[in-house]
Amino acid sequence: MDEQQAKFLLQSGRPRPGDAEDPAFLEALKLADANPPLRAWMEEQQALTDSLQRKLGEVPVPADLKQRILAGAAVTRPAPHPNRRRWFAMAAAGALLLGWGGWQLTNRRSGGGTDIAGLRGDMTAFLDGYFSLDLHTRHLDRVKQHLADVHQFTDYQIPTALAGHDSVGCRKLDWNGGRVMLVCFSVDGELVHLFITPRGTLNPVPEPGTRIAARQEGRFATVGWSDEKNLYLVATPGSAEFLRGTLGGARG
Amino acid sequence: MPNPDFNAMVDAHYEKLYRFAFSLAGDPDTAADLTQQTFYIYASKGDQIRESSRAKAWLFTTLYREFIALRRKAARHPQFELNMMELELPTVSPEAVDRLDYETVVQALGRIEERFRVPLALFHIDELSYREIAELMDVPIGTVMSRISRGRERWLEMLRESGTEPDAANIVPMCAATGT
Repeated sequence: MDEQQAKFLLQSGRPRPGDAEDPAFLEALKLADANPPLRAWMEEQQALTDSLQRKLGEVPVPADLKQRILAGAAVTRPAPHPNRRRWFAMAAAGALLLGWGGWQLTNRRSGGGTDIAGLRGDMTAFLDGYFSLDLHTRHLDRVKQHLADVHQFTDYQIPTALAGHDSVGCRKLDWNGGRVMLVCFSVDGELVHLFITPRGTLNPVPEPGTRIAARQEGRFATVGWSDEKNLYLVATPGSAEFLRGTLGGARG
Repeated sequence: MPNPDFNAMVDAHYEKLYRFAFSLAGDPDTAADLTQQTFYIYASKGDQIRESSRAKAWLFTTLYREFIALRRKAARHPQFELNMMELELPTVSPEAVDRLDYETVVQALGRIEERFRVPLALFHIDELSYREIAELMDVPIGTVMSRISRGRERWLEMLRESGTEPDAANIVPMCAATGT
């Protein structure tokens, strides 16, 4: 190994763990030990590496980034349980238990109904399980862009009370032969989930202007409404008071 | 809620991942999104990555892939093309770099062509070894060394040109590296 080859290997200073055990690096270091000018050059390169490293280490990290990561992870659970996976497969296929009587839906927490109660039960059961999002971003504009680009879903209104908060991300769900868009928000550190589906996905189709009364569904506080195009359902693990305070009177 | 292992993983790596993302994307919002996206993917697959020593490399690799996917959708930013024949460039002393603000250093890095910028950022932000970077980028180790060498020369040249022109005494000739 000549000096030029040694310099190439030692160009950024002393080799790091993982490189230092390599015979070529060991030989270059040995050469530097026996050659003071080469050693001085290597130390200069190491000092330069340290300076550049310090500068890059000064790049400020957003103060709330860690909190956002942890909040987002709450909706992204690892290692789906086989039973949950089966539930997803059923949901994805729109093969939810059909044909149950309406009276049963009001008394059942999850599954089966194609009306508002069924949607509410299935969506909160979904939130209770293991799921991931298709897109993770705090920027609602990017969520909207994703829904438009990937799903051609543009005809909806995000409630103004939620639009001012950071989003967490979004996901498309298949339900009752139709699609439900889930947009998640982080509101004061609490997750708020907004489900949007065309009114025609439900059976019977709810009238425009339908108000879905606030109700505790398992561990989720829920409320909803419909407009000309869609039905909106909001669910949060926060309290009903929190939900009321978040949405206020502004819906749609 | 995320498990303690996940929290520890976030604690250990989120700042360096963010800085790596920032060096790639050049804007804080996209860098934050990329960092979040990386951890979300980890959260959904974390149980498959049991070896914590591999988890760090996995996080950086995943962030880099997410960046590539994001970039495909966006208009390509103009980048500084390196002249591979450029040798014998002057470089800057450590003291001169210390006098620069971090914005200058990061902006100069951001102007370097991506194939050089990625190994440079990995080398200087997370102190990865050449070998680790080679595995992460799936290129031979010699290629990584060559790219870091050329990229660093260009980076330092831009730092020298930007704002704080160092004294002649601070300009140190850097010998040409033998390429691979």
